[in-house]
Amino acid sequence: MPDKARSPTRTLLVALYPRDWRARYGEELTAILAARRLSPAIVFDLLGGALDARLGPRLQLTDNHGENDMKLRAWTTCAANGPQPTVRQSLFGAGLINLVSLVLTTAFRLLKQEFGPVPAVAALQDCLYMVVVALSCTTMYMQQRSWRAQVCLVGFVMTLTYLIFLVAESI
Amino acid sequence: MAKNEEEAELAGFGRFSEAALLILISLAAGPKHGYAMTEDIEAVAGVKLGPGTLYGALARLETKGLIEVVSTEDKRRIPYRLTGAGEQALRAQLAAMSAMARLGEGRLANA
Repeated sequence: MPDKARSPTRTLLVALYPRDWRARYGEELTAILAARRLSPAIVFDLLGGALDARLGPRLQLTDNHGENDMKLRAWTTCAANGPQPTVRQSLFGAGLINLVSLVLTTAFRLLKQEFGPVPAVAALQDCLYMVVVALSCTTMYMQQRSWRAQVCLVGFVMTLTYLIFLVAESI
Repeated sequence: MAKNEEEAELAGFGRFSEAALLILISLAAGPKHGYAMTEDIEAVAGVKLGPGTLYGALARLETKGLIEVVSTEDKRRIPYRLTGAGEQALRAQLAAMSAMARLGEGRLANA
């Protein structure tokens, strides 16, 4: 198999899918990705597919129904004991996530116009999804922490994610 | 299965409906793995399915029992084929599309 199959960006994109999905289609998807140039359209298509695989209708890909039942019970337990934000906190979190998405997307468009599709700009586009996920986790699970702790964590995750994608785009 | 239910099989696939129909048409010519399907669909329909869309549609078709795996010996190239239910659903969908095309052509002819 060509080295492209083991590129960090491709591996990361496949890793976004659920485990049972990867067990079923992962190797074939990896082989297909190795044979194609990784364009922004394919990246967005895969992000949409991963989101659908996680949030869409539950597909019966394997016969491990017992394991799925256990997972469902575990998730239910976690959800019952997880964060229970107020309406105000939920609205603030959703607004913040949308605002950051808008700012980063606008920044990407402006930088792309100015500098073209250089790795530093492409990495900004690649990391958008991960940054928003990190931001949503922070707004949900760190409500009791100080503003400084929240900003530090989000900043650290954003920087780290950007650097990972920058390295991936530069390879 | 009633004809309307067979047509509704693909309609319920949401944004994967078109991809699912193209996959069924591709598999009507014989078993294929994912990469061969995308090549065939691009050649006959001019549509290049993204891998996320392809496997989203494949997973739905397989769950609904409209396609099935032929062999899993090489997990990088898993061949799929139409099931009997898949063939019926494809026939029903194509018949509905043909009827709609005839209707449209008739109205245009009278315009």
